[in-house]
Amino acid sequence: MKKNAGAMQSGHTEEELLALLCPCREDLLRRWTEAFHATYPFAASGLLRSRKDRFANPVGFHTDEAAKALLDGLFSRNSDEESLRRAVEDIVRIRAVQDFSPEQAVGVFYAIKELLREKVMDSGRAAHLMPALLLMESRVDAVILLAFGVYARCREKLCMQRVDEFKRRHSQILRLAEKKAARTRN
Amino acid sequence: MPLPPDAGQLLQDLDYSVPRVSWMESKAVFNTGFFCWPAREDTMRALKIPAAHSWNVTDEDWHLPENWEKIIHKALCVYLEKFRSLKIFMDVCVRCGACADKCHFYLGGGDPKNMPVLRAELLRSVYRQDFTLAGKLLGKAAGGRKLDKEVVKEWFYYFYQCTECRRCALYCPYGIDTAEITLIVRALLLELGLGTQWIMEPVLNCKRTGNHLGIQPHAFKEIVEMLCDDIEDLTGVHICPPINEKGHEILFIAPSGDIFAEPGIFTFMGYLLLFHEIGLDYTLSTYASEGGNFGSFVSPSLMREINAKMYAEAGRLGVKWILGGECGHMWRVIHQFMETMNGPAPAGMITPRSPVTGTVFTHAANTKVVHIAEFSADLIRHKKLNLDPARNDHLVMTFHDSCNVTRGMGLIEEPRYVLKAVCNNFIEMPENTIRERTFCCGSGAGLNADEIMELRMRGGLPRGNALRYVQEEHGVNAMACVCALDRAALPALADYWAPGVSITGLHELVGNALVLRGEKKRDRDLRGEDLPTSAADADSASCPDLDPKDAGQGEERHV
Repeated sequence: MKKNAGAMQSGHTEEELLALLCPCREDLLRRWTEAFHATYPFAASGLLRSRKDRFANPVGFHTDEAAKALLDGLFSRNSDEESLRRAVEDIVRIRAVQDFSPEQAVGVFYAIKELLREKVMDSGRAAHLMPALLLMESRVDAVILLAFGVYARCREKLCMQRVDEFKRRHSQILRLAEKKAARTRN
Repeated sequence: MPLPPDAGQLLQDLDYSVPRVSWMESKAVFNTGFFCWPAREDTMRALKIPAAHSWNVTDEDWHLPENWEKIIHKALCVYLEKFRSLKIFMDVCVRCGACADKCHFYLGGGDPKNMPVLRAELLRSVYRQDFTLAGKLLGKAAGGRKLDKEVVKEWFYYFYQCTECRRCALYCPYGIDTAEITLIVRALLLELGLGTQWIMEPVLNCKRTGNHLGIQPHAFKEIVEMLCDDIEDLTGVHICPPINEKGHEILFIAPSGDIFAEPGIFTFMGYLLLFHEIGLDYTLSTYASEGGNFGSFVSPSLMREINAKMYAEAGRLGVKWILGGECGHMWRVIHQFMETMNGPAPAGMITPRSPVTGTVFTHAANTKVVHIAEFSADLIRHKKLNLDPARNDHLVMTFHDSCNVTRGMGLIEEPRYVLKAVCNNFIEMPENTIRERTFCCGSGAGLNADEIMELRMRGGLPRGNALRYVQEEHGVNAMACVCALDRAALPALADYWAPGVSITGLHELVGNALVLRGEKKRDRDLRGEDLPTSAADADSASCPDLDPKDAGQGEERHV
């Protein structure tokens, strides 16, 4: 992610923030994916949490991948933005066809903000780390904006698919009708 | 309207406790995109459904007949008496949960009532209450619950979220066939006048005109001729397939989607090219112009009526046997029900025998119907086809095992054998997503309606997920299948989950690779798109001398 002016100025506090958060990576991963899982019915959360086969548990797998990519994106100076983009796309594409309102489908990403704040507040150096935290939260906002765009495109695609499918289904009837109309015109 | 939860609330609201409302009390919530439009009253009346009436899914009152409980009770009595399997399925389940995480709708959405065990329990609980001594005495304590209007709504919601793919049945230690349970519940709902337009209209069309789309015989003939014009334009070969002609050896029945819809038409062109090349003595029929059987999704009696046309037409035309096209549920009906429903086959029909290779298809001795993948695999095995798989070199193929032919009749190796003969690049999807364990397209059993696109994409997630994997890892850009519903449904699925992967029928690829006697230089495939340059160049030089021994040697890689 590109750094803005504020980020350049607060480079040293950013390092301190990362030093605080990086050791908590596993805990953050676990709690954020739990927040994700909690958006599904109770009876599904066991499957989502426990099955590690990406083909037997696609939702759980892509949730884990999105969580890892998000934290890597936040914690690494040289993060792979392409991986982050794809992980966000994969999970939002799934949530766009599940029983969620748009707010629920995308909003769960925000949970990471509260988790980051908790860690900073509990560190006893909240005031000192606040500028770096705000910058990190801005990056979270950028990811959520990305998720919003993916969601919108997915929903748009669903609508277009209905139109395309109608055309495919009736392609030869329409073709025959056009052929006959042309014959009549001539 | 309250604001959505903020970041803090999202974490505070986490609730890991067991739901306070048991599944028996929770009601179905009908959201647009997840239920089909109801069948129209005129459609249902034309099909002589006694309780036909007008209703809306989202209305509180579904206007059920006054004595609706008695109707259900009586019909369930009849089905329990008639189908011993249903009674066993109702009694034998120990709720082990082996099926629970095998359903694509459950995997895609997480709704517990889409676990096959719980979906079946929606009926089983009513059965226990009304048909078992324990249920009659102990009610809920014995797993029973009273049938009420909310249960009927719940049935409509969840049994129209089952594609009758039978993946769950594969994993059930007792072999409980959820597809049969779904069929019976849908039949019970029909008794109350509750059906979906997407299913009932094709059923009616099939009865009236011979095919799902309601295309009349003259238009059917004109469309076939139009496709023959395309074939001539692309290959230089003139084909004029017989239609409704008596005295031929074989009646060929394809799903009508192959004649009317894209991309099925390219598969149909492949069939015609193959038949022309081997000089098959066959006829098409407008009366039996539909291999598919939407009746099989909702009612044993409607299934029987629609299926009966095959033998009726075979008898009328005096054919020796029937060759069937690439369809899914058509084959489940033929393989598992046809003989007992409408058999025996008309006098004069014989055990199918390939006129080209002499192979006798003894497994079809009773039904007299052979699948075209078996037929073509036999031709290739006997080196009767001149094939140039390089014409499909621009495709990196994978293969989707269609549920009904795979789990319903064990057709697994034959399509792969043909595919590897006509393509040089073939990649299997991961093992737990193919063959018997194949994932459904999410749109079978009458769920390929456009108004439930969200539901279909959700159900198609496990298949799309595996497809995306081979696309990213191995550059797969096309997926073949042997089912017309797949050809209708998978383009949308691929476009959503793995954009850039196209969908083809098996015999579209055969048609492309087939080197025809007297063909002109083939520079376009059956879609009218340019063939790979090397293949097109090679055609003029090597066509006449292509060695058929090379067929069946396509590369296969497993992931």
